Amino acid sequence: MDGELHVTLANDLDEVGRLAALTEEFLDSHTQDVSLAFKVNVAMDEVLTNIISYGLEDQPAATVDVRMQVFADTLTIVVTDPGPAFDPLAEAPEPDLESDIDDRPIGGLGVFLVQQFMDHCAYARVEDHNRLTLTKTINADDI
Amino acid sequence: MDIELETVGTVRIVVPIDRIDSKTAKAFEESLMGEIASGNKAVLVDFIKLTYISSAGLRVLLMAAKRLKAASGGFSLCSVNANIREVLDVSGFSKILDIQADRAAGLAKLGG
Repeated sequence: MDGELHVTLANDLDEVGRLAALTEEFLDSHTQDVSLAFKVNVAMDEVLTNIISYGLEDQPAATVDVRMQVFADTLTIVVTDPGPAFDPLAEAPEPDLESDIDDRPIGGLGVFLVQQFMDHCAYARVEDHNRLTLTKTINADDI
Repeated sequence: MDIELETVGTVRIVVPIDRIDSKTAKAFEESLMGEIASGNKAVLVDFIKLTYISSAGLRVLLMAAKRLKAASGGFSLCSVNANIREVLDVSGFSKILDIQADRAAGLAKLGG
């Protein structure tokens, strides 16, 4: 079922949990895919943690705009923040998924999880804002 | 976040509750690494009450696994739900962490 969720988040990590609850409610009422909200929440957690912990570090009063839209078989999420230009997709190194425990580096999986759990991710710098667009196709049986 | 701690035989069991995300990972890290620092050599992290984990939580699991391996100890996870299991699989953690079906299997593995 088509629908849209629009949330303005304060520059505070507590907001990640608030958005997660709203996302669950929104996706559960607009799709039948029971694992979709979990995957979206993992992706949004990584995206927002980067923005709030690093991008907006020096702008305590800044807000992050999140728009989530279900239209036909596609979920589109647009995250906009007023931080300095930063493309998280370009900066992320390829993660090491194979080394044994001693050689496995700690960290560096955040953006990788976003890319794994969403079908497509795109970055743009628009009017002094970072804009990240994430899309995911919803299984036909689950719309 | 709330974390339950139990001891069965020689095994220290850490039970994180609800969510390990970027906000709560620090508390999980302090609890788990604190248990290892205080000399526990066999640690079972029981995910029976956990619904969610982000990469901030994966980071803590890897730190604990490395520390216990260096100390010739044992480290296992158990009772992992399907969503969390997928995060562990996608991130390549299933290959390097010992994941047991339930607490009994985890205790058996760790010699509790």
